[in-house]
Amino acid sequence: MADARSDHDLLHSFLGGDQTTFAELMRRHEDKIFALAYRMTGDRADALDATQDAFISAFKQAKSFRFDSAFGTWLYRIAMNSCHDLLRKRKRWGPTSEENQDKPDRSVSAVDDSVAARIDVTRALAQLPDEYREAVVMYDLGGISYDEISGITGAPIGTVKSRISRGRRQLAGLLEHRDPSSESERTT
Amino acid sequence: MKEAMDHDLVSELLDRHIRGELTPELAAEVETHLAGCADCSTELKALNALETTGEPAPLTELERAGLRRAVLTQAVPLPDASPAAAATPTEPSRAGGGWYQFLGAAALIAAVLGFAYLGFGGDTGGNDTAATSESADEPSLQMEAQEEGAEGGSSLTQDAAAGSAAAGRDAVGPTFEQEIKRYDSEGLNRFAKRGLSLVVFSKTYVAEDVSTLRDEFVERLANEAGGDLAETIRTCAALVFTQTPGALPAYAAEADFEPARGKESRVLVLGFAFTKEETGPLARAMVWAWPVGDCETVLHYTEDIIRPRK
Repeated sequence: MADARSDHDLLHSFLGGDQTTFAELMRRHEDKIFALAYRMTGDRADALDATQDAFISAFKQAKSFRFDSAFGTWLYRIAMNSCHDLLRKRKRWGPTSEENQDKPDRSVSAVDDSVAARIDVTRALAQLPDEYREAVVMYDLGGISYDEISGITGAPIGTVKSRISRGRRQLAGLLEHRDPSSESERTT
Repeated sequence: MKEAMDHDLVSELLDRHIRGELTPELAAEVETHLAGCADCSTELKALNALETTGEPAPLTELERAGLRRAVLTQAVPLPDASPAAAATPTEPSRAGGGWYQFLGAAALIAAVLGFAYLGFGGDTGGNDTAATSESADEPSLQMEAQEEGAEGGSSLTQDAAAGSAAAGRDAVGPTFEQEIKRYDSEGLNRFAKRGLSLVVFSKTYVAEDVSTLRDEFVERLANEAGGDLAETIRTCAALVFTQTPGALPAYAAEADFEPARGKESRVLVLGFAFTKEETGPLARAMVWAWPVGDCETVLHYTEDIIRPRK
């Protein structure tokens, strides 16, 4: 049966000695954290590493949580830091393990084209400055609100919006640079 | 004439615009703006490209279990490696990449026994509980067939174990126990170590036996347990095998687990002897515990090397 307690109640219980409640917190948030990490790193194995690091950090730092924000927001901030740390260690600018497996051939089929497009976007995202990539990943891919992004990053909402806008423009520029002949614009 | 739409506002509306969530009037205003704004058109291109990335494949059950295990066994800082741990190199298991961690044997014993994760000295229901510091200081990596001060359960002395082993491999098969005692984390760990008789088990079977006996042992445990527990045994064991193919189930038990005062659950405990090698003894042991019916939630995990008592 699902545990109906709020995240804050579970965390209180965890800090009070019932450490099994952390497993429930993980169950609630692991998918979102993993998806975020995957979008930030572009690689499944790296995303799993970052997810694990994020939850380990949260587990150990739970005492420092001040209950003045949503637990998920606090966890996102930790996860972002884990992703940054991992990317710095990996210094990943080249192909990811998944990209090496895919080896897209643009001349073959629509399926390969979509894989190629996904890889291009992933690579281009990786080349954005950290704060732009964060903002674009969280807002455009993660569906996280401006308010929450502001809480996660510590930046004012206006700055968040500006980063999203500039991040998108840089991303488009990088994609055009890769394949200037591609027409990716869709009519809406 | 309507005032042209604010540039910043259009930027904020673009994601809803490509999802078709704007009213026709608003969408038309956005399109009008886009026709004359290079920056916003560029942003739209980026958003269209981002649409191609899609969602990552969801976490598999294996990945979730690995995450839980890696996180929930981190409560105690790792002590310095003992000579025994240095002699037995830790082998990271890469179920999905370098993220899947096995703690060093000595470190894990100290971590689990000194572990506050699954209990903070709550009412143990009469179970014997050694002091946490005593357990944390335990230097030995031996899982002993003879347990001091054992309470309940079945345990084999070295002599009895030798006799059983001599009687034939069938005499030392997997065992199932229904425990009615209530355990906290430390009590559960001691119960599991006692009940496993892993020294005897590991002396009886080798790596070459795993492929032929593994499924049979799971079925024996499941049949003996019966009911809902049987399915949990099969499911949880299968999860373990995916991570550690060289594991042979030695033991199963259903017990009452009380990680904190007032919060009880029935748990399934499974013990395995295993090796990462293709041949040779099953020189390592692991003990898992999950809530009955829920193999996603790892409540307890410990790993150790098995060394016969001198």
